[in-house]
Amino acid sequence: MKLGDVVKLLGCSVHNEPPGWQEREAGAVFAGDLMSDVLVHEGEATLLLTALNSDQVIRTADIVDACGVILVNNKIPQKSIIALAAETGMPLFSSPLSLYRCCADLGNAGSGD
Amino acid sequence: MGKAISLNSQNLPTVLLDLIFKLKIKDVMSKDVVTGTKQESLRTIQQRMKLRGITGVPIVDGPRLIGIISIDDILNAFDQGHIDDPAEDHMTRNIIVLEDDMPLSFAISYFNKHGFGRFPVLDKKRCLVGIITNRDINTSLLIEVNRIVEQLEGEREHTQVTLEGEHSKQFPVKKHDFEHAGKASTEIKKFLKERQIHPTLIRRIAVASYEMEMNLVVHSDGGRLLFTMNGERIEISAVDQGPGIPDVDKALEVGFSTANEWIRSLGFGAGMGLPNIKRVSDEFSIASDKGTTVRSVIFLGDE
Repeated sequence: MKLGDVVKLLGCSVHNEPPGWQEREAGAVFAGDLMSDVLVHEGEATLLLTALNSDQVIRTADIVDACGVILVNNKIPQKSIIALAAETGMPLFSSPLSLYRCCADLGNAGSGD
Repeated sequence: MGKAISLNSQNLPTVLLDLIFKLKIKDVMSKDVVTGTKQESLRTIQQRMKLRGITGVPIVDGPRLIGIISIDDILNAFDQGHIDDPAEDHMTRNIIVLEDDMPLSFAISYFNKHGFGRFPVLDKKRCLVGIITNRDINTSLLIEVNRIVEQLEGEREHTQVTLEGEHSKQFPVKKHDFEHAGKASTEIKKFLKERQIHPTLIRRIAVASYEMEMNLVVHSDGGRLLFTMNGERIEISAVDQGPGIPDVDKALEVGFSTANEWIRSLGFGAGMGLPNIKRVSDEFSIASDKGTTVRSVIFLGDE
C-alpha cells in the first residue's frame, strides 16, 4: 500500500512531507510504543504507528529505514520532532484514530504483517 | 608557608585560569573543621593541633566564628607562661574570612595579599562551614588538572588514528542526554550511505550503534562511542567510565533490564539492547569492571 493512500485512509494530518512521499510503498506495518522492539523488527520499508511522541521515534524510524511515522490518538509532534523528521527525510503524520483502529483499518485494506 | 601562587601572571595556563574561576571555595575547602571554644585552655587546643596535625584552630560560639588560635599564639603562650589561660584571652579576633560561594581565585589572591596559612570560610548566614589552606588549593587543582589530562588523553588516543584507508570517528555521549541521543548513529549512517554501503549492512551497523548510544545515555555515567572503518571491517565500541554492570551474563538475557519507569516511558529499557547488538554483529564482546566496554564488529563483505 502506498503511503499517500494510508494517510488518506487514516485521516492523517501532515507534519513533514519529503518529496515523493505519497509514492513510497509501505512494506510492513509496525504498531507499538516500544522502540527497542522496532529496532529488533526486521521488516523492510516499515510504516511505524505509535502513540509515543518523542525525538527517539524519529531516530529509531531513521535507523531502521522506516518509510514513515504516524502518531496515533491525534498526538501532535513538537517542533524539535518535526525538525528532526525534516533533517532525516522522514514522512511524519498524526492520525485522530486509535492505534487499534489504525491497525484494523490497515488490515481491512489488506496491508501490513 | 609555601611560595605564593601568582594570579597576576600572564603565564598562567588558560586551563588553570579557567579552573580557579570555575571552582568555588566550597569545592576546595576542608569541610571537617577542627574547632575550639572560648573557654578551652590554650594547652587543650595545642594538644588538638598536635593530634590532628594542623597549625590553626578557629574558635567558635555555636556556629559563629569568634576568633582563631594559630601555632604562633601557642608558641607565645609557652614563651610567656599563659598556656593554661582560656582561648578567648589570647585569640586573634580580627579575622579575615572568605565566603563559600566565592570563586577559588579570591582565596588565591587572599593568600598572596595576607601572610596567613589558612582562612576560615563562612556561608551566607555567616556560619563557619570550612577552612581553606594552600594545601587544599594545590590538591584540588592537581586533581582537576589530572582529570582534564585524562580526558584529553582518552580523546587523543582514538581520534589520531587515521591511517591510510581507515576512518575513525569519536562521539562523546552524556548521561541522560535524551535530546541528543541517536545523533552519533545518524552521523555514522550518513557516512556509510555516502560510501554506498549496502542498505542492509547500514541498518545492522546503525542498529548496533544506536542501541549502544542509548545504553550510554540510559545506563552509564557518560562515555563515548567510537566508530572505525578499516577496509571491510566496521567496528563500533561504547566505552564508559561507570558504573559498570554487576552481572554481565544477566544483562545479556533478553528481557532483563535495570531501567526505571521514566526510561521505559521513552520506549526503551525493555532489556533488549545488548541481545540486539549481539544479533546484528559478526563479532560481539562486552567487558565490565568499573566502566564498561561493548564492542561490535560487522564485516562489509557479507552482502
